[in-house]
Amino acid sequence: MNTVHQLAPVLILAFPLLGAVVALFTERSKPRLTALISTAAIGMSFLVAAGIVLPHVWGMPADRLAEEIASVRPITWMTTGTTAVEFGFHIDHLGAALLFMVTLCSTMIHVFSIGYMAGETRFGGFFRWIGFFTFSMLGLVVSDNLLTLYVAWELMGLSSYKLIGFLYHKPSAQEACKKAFMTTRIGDVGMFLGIVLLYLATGTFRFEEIFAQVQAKAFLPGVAGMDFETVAMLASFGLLFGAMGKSAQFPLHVWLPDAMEGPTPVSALIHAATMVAAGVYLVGRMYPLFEVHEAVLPVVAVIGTFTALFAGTIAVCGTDIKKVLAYSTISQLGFMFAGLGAGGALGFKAGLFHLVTHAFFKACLFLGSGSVIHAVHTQEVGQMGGLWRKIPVTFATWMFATLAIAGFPWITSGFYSKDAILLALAASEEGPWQAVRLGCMAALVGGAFLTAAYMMRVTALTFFGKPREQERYDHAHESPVMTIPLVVLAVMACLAGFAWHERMLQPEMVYGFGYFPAHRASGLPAVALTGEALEAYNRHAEHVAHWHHTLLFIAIPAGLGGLALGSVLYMTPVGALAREKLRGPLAPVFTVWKNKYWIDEIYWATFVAGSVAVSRAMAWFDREIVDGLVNLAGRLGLRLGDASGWADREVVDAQFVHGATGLAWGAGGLFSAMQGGRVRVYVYQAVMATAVLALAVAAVYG
Amino acid sequence: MNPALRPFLEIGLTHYLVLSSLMFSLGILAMVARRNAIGVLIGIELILNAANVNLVAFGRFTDAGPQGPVFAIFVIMLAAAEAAIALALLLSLFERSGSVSLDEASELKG
Repeated sequence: MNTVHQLAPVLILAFPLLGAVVALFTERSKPRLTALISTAAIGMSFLVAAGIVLPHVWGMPADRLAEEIASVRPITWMTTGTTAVEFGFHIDHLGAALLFMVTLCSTMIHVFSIGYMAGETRFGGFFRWIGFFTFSMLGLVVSDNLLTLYVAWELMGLSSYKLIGFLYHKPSAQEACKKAFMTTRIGDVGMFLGIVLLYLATGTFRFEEIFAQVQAKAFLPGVAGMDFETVAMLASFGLLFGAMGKSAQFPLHVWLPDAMEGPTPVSALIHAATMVAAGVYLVGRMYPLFEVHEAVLPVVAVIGTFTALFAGTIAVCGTDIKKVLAYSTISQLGFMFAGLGAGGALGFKAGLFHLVTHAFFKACLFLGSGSVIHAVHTQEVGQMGGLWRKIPVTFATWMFATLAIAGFPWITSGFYSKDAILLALAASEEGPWQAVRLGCMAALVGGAFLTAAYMMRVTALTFFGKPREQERYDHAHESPVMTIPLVVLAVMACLAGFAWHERMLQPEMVYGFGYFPAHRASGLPAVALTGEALEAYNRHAEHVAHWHHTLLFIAIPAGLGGLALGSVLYMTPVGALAREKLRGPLAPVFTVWKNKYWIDEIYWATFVAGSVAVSRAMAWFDREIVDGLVNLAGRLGLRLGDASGWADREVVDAQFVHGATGLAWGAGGLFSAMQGGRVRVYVYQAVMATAVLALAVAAVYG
Repeated sequence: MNPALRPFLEIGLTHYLVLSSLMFSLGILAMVARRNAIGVLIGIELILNAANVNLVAFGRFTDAGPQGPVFAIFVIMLAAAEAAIALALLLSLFERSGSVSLDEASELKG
């Protein structure tokens, strides 16, 4: 371990942060220079990330993959009482893959933005925020503890808020950024509770120490008398809720489509490199914890599968090119969650593999849509058509990315990663939850078909057929600063699959932080096995190989079938006729899908209206009951006063009374003078009182 | 250097504490003496920064590790949040009464 490696996490973080800080000073006076500095900064981070990742992709034996790549010794951040909060940086194979993906995507998005955002009034400020956004994500990935991860997580929330609302003069953008912020914050409450619970149970925020306790199956005693498994389950669900908010899983998905109000490069950043990747990464990072209670991961699988189908069906009806891509992201994130939900080393690898490959082709698709929007100045596919002649490079790269997301066999990365997810679910361990996972697998085959179909539909409407608005078509053009990133990402959309897919199929231990899930046959390092364990491992490997061959005959037809259906329906005369015939009978279904299952309306009617109603009820209670009690007390006092007044007059000696009144008046006057309503006087009183107290304490104890 | 002057010229903990107590006193003075609410706000900031100087100085001259600066950063952040809220209050006070003089805002008079 040499010093360059130890410095790697710091270097990767320092470049984009420095870029953002420099941008603070130059963004107004020299916007172009700011853009170049930001792009160069993130490019440097990419070089460092590539330098540590590539040697690990090629040449490292699989059973050593999970060793730490680089780390910075944790330092004590602060000590309050007996609690020391430490933080450090750590890169293992999981972090390395993410770093490579995040920095590459972000660099390409920076380059693209130079062309796309040209002429925008806050051109320089835009680069400051996307640089900071990337910094936050990188900080999340290299954190070696939950606390700094949480800080980076919230910084990302802030950056996304600023960027979604970047075009702040649009009311829809203002609404969208607030919605994104609030919705993810709801998830974060769960995450916060999960972190607190874990801290109570383990006494530390550091992954290494938490996983050591998970390995030993023993937390600190005495968290409300719960046993180890229950605590782990509750903490997992808390963290999962945060991940669902960030990664837009049902029912917290509502912010992601609205986030399309941001400029297109921001959408690409949110949907590929940062933000939504964070949730999936969190589940992957905390995988040892999620595996403790056997019911947790099946829940993850079911949520993911449901979201994949749910969002996929909405995407089928979309007419806004970016909204279709947004729902497709939600759907693909559902695939990732389902993959993670499969459990074992296979599930872990499959979910995160899809995260990386998806980032490349989704960034490519979003930037491609940006190029299209830049060319025709509209987002409605109804106003496009025939564009492949006018913007051929955009079209070619878009086509590659579409094939990748559809899972076109052998040449695209999406094929391998989607295959890995289905395989992980199919070959999951035996037990009561196996049926659930097999069901998820079957549903996801349908999801894969759906994905291919709606992506082909959008492609056909945008790039093929006759131009529907001649004037927009005539003015369409593309520029190299925007097409070069597209080409790079399209190449990665193919290559990323080859680089990793062999590794994906070997069921080795890969969780990182020295964690060995010893209770699972699928999680053991092959080299260390003997006797019965080796037999179990071989049986499992055989099982996996068997499913791997079977799935080829299921997954490939699903993807190709979807592509074929989309092309036939939207590119042939027969398809046009068929659509005409189907429109009537299918109208109710399309109404549901077009209205996105009315989720926004349901939330409005329940949560928003509900909280308004609760406030109204509170106000009424305050006005009628609380004030009523006060008034009652007042009236009682009055009566009492009358009675005692009478007794006073008649019974008590007048002289004595006058004395008492005088005293009361005097005291009242004194206290009244103190309540002068002048803030300055209050401050003065507070200072004097403190001084008197200090003197008194000094006199007594000094 | 004249040895008699050494305690005055070598910067030690005491110097920081003197500076900090000066800042604190000036802050209190501003809070008590200024009629303008903005002036009072500046006084509050002075007091917070006096505390910061203390935190950093004690962190530097005792073996407390990075705690001093860490908490000073927390204080700076809280001060920023506090200033934001106070300025928002002042803005609405100005809209209501057309002035930011604290003596005029005396509705709480007993």
